[in-house]
Amino acid sequence: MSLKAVHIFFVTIATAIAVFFGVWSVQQVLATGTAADWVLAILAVLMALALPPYGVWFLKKMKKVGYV
Amino acid sequence: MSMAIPYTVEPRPDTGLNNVKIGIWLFLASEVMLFGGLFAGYIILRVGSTDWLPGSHFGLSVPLAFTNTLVLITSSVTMVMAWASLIRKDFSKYRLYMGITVLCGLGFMVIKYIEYTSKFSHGYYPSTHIFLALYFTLTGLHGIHVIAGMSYNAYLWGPGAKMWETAPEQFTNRVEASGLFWHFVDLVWIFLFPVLYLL
Repeated sequence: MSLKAVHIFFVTIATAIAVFFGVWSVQQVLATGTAADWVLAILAVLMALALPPYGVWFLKKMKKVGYV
Repeated sequence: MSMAIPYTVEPRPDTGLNNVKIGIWLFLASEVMLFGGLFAGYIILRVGSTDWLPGSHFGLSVPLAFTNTLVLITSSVTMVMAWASLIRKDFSKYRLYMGITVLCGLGFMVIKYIEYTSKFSHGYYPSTHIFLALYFTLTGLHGIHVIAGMSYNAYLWGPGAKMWETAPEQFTNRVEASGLFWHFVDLVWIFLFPVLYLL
């Protein structure tokens, strides 16, 4: 398996953890609502939104490189 | 008379892969077993513990851990960009991206150092509680892997990059193998972050 394939897998897992952390952070915001919790929640959501388009961009950029 | 090591670039007919890739994947398989055993140990000790305490009890910093997560994800992106630059024969871009990757590894370790010294200053050691024993074992072993990957990446950025002039394809394969290891190290952290800091 090439680095390209592993990177796509990595981006998928990173997106999943960003979603999980986003949910966790929003729960913290609802429970305590401190400024730090807000910052973390916003960053997590931004990360979850940014990673999938990056993955698509990466796939297009590396179209000529194989998966093995 | 010089003897070249076979199949460093061209694929072996029987495996269809060059030996660099076979070697790194065999190594990564052993690493999966190592960390898999430790994660299994974590689950068993946590489920069996009668006085389990979460990381927040010991003041583990979620913002610092999340910063480290962002740092490692960024380093994975720059690592793969470094490799892609070599495929495009753009060596100056390779140097830039690989340099950022090494700096990200360094940044991760600096944050880890801050976390460790904070724990020690509060009198928290592996012997204090079962959670801390697991925390220091898992993050310590992971930290050693980060140092190893960062060191090899620094070598590929510096003195090891001379190979680009004599054997560019072999050098590109080395960077890819290093990138595979670096991604593994980053993936381990992606699992460690929720397990130790959030759950």
